Amino acid sequence: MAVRLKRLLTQNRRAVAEMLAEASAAMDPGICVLDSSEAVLLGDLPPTGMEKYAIESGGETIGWVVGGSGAQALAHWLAYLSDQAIEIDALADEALNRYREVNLLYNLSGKLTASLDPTSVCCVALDEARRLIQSSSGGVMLLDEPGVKLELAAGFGSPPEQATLGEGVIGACAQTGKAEVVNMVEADARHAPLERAFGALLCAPLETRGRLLGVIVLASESTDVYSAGDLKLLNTLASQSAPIIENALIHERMLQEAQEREARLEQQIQALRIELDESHQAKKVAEITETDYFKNLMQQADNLRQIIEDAS
Amino acid sequence: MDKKILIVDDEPHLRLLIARALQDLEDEGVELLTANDGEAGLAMIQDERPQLVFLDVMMPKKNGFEVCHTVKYELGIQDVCIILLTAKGQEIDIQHGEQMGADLYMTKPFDPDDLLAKAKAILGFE
Repeated sequence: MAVRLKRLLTQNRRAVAEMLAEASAAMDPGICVLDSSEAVLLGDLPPTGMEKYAIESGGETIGWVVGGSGAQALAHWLAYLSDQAIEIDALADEALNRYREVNLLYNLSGKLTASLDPTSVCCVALDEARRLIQSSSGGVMLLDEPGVKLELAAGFGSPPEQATLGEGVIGACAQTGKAEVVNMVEADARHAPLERAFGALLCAPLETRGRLLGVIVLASESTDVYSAGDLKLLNTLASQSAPIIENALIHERMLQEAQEREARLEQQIQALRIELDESHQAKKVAEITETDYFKNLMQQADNLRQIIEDAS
Repeated sequence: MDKKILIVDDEPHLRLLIARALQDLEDEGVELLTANDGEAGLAMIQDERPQLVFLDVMMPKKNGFEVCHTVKYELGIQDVCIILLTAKGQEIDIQHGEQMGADLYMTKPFDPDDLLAKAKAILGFE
């Protein structure tokens, strides 16, 4: 992690720049600070033949101090400052990541409950996970009705479309209900053929009230990318998401049942309508056939038939 | 004109955190300045004339509302965008912030990516 010397000298650390300018002015001849590509960052290039001292920080040469006596001490001082800046930046990065996590958990429930569609809820959970944990692929896989297969409900990159409970790293995670981090998939004897496409896998079960709903999986093409912190974060996200996914699934099922009931009711109404029509028709026919006029007609028809038969 | 962002917060870790979240802009040449209380923040706004200020509300000496009011109404500095940062998120606080001249309001814990996106948009880096 290289701290660019320019930033150290000229931007957010004003006090450093001012102290350095004062030190340079006090020296005779003045000093000149160059970056790693030997571009001047501070001072004027002194006459040729002056000593050039490397500023070594974070295992690399980040620049040079050229000048007379005092230039070497200044190079050491800048290297020390740069080392300190690297540490501060690392701490700030860590704090920023923690802050992102706190922010994620703070806002997660609101985002997840914004929709009652299971796919949308799974997508939100996955999007939040990939925002914090760098991954090339990922998916939320839900357990099917017989409880044997895990099927992809939402994904990005190239996640596996399906997994079997107990098979592969993903299947094992679902079966044991324990989150897994595998930083070298090929070296893990449990890995399934489809999982060979990934270098590293992070997997957490989606469980609520002791019932397994599925798993959330993140994967990277590179190996050794996931930390224990990533695992904890994904597990927390999974445990927060699971009850909301369950609610969405229940809602979807209820909606489906209501639609089925509605369809059945429609069929029954249709059948009743047919029955009603038939009885209505029978009544109409009866109304006609039971009139004296119709009976008289029938009698006349019978008489005619009799006359024809007698004649033949 | 050099672009400057001022971060005013009495908590050092939050100043560091905000500065880190805005590091992309620092790489673009934006200068990040910090102040650790309201009075120091007000002095820096006058001296440095930043285009954007992230201003904490609960601070010693002068709170964020007071600083905001002084900048916008007493000093009449209008070419600065002030974003109030606070743990308070109630509508009444947001309204109070707006009355004091704040341009935007963000509640803690803020989203670092959102913070950067807002800063980029305000400084015209989109």
